[in-house]
Amino acid sequence: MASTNSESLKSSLLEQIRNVVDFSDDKESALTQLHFPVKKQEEWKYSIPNFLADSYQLSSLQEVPVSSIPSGLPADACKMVFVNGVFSSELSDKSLPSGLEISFGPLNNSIKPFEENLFGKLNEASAEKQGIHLHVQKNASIEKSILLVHIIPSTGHSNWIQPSISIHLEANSSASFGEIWEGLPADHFVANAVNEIRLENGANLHWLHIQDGTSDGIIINQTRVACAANSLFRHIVLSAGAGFVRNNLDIHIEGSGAHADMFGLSLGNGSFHCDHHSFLHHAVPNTTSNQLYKGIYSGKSTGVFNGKILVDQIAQKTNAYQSGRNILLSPDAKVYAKPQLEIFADDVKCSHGATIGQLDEEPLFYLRSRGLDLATARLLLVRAFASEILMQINSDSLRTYAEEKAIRQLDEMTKS
Amino acid sequence: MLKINNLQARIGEKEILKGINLEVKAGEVHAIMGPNGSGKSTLASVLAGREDYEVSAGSVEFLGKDLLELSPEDRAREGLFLAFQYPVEIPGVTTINFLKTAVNEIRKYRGEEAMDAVSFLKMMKEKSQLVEIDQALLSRSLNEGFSGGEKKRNEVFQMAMLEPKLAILDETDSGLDIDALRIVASGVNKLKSAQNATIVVTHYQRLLDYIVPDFVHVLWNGRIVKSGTKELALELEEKGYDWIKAEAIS
Repeated sequence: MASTNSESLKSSLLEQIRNVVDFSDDKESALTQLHFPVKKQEEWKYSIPNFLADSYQLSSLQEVPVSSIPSGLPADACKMVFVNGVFSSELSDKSLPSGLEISFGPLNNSIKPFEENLFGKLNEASAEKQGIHLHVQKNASIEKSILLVHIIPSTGHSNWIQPSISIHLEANSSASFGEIWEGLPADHFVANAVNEIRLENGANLHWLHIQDGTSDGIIINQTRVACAANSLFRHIVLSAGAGFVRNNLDIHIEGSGAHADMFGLSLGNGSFHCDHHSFLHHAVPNTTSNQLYKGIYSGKSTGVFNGKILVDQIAQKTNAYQSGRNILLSPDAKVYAKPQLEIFADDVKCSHGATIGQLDEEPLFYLRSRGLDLATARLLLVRAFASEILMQINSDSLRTYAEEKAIRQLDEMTKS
Repeated sequence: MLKINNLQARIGEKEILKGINLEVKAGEVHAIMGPNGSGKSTLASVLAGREDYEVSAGSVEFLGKDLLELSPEDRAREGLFLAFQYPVEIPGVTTINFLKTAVNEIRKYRGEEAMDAVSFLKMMKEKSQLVEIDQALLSRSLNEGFSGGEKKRNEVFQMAMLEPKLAILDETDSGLDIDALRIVASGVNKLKSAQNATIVVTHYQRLLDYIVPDFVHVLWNGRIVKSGTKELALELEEKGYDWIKAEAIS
């Protein structure tokens, strides 16, 4: 897309944002200095969003029927529904679990300022109007999973939506969230989402992110997480579908004894483009992290994994593991893997690695020699490969829900 | 049951089987012996349909069908079973899970109804006792972290579950201590009937003390150079393979 078009897109979005929120001249001039990413930027090398349409409608809350909520969501969870990125109290469960509080307003974006990041800045600009804060009170232990269900109604034009969600777990609280993007419209759209997550001392947060069924949409998700001492954060992302997904997950471990798990399962079919950028910052001594991203790609799908671990000089006794494993099921599928370690401390244990391959011949032959046809044998093997990630989901009902999605997708992928 | 006629096979440019002739009838046990590199495992692999090998000449008839025309899965469904020399470890796939699929795929091929969960579990229990395998192993990932003996026992267990007409045991004795060998052999013997046949591929005579063959064939340099009865195996044990090689050359 020519830069003049992207400039006019930016102006049009700014104007639409200005119609709903006030912003200062300073803010506006700062925004006009920024640009959409271009291919020569290292961070966007494999995922250039040159698929952006010429114009979008900045969409906000609108009335949609209850039937827009995806069916089959785990019944034992608490549902919070977002329409076009904005919280809809009407569609959401009426009673919240005790220990959970909601308030509204702009996000702090203090974990990592967006600076040059136009997507982040655009989100920030509208967050004053549609930002939502979920607080889990001190010592509260929320049994029910909380589902943040995103709905984008089909409107016949290209929607641009900007959910801004802040999660704050006070000391020694625990909660499990599911961020659900699925059953999205066939129309083209951009979801420019920002999550800001803070875990205070001893907090425990389990986050499952499901992105499924983005037929022609673009999801850009920026999640920033700060982990205080002795907190435990687990992030699991299941990405499937046919659109474009770019996930930036930045985790900052800022207190000793904290641990972060990051798991990803990407199931690429058709022309799906799935880009995981993870950044893990060990800023203090005695912290640990574990990352495992797996991908299975068929058709003409593309996977990108760029995982960076930064260990500060004072962050002695860090243990950080990162691994990316990918299977290509078709000759036209592609994976770009770029694991990076930057270590400034000398007493640490860190490792990283990435593999890309096909399904092994030997297990395939073994299964066939027992009477399984090739498609069934392939399906069994890819399911087994995927199960290592899915079994990391703590909640039984959420795991079953995610497994069903994964199995359906894998069925499709191994058929072709 | 099985008729191999002038079978020749190669891997890349290298000829490994140079004209194998062998006939196996129902109720028989055949042992195929020979020094390392003689082509024993290649023969087992070619019969099971491993695609690394190219069959360059000859024919194989199995129960009246052209075996070489069949995919590996159809060979299994027709009643051929290969017990692997090196059983594969498959993380995330349990023995029970994949065998249930296998049993039902084979039944479907034969026009039989799928087996329900209760009957399957009952059959599994019976067969696991028959081959003395701990049922707990069967709910674990296939062969992952199994000892050598457990892997081979799992092969024989699968054989018991799939009830093949022709079982080929490829170096089933390799890596087994004498107790494990006895258990594995006893499992194979219990599965023997007048309707099925067994080909035992082995380097050593030891296994044949437990699985007594009706015929012994010596494979060397891609050909069967000598055939006889079980006494031939004892002679090989005593004298080694060199006299056979000398005899074959002269």
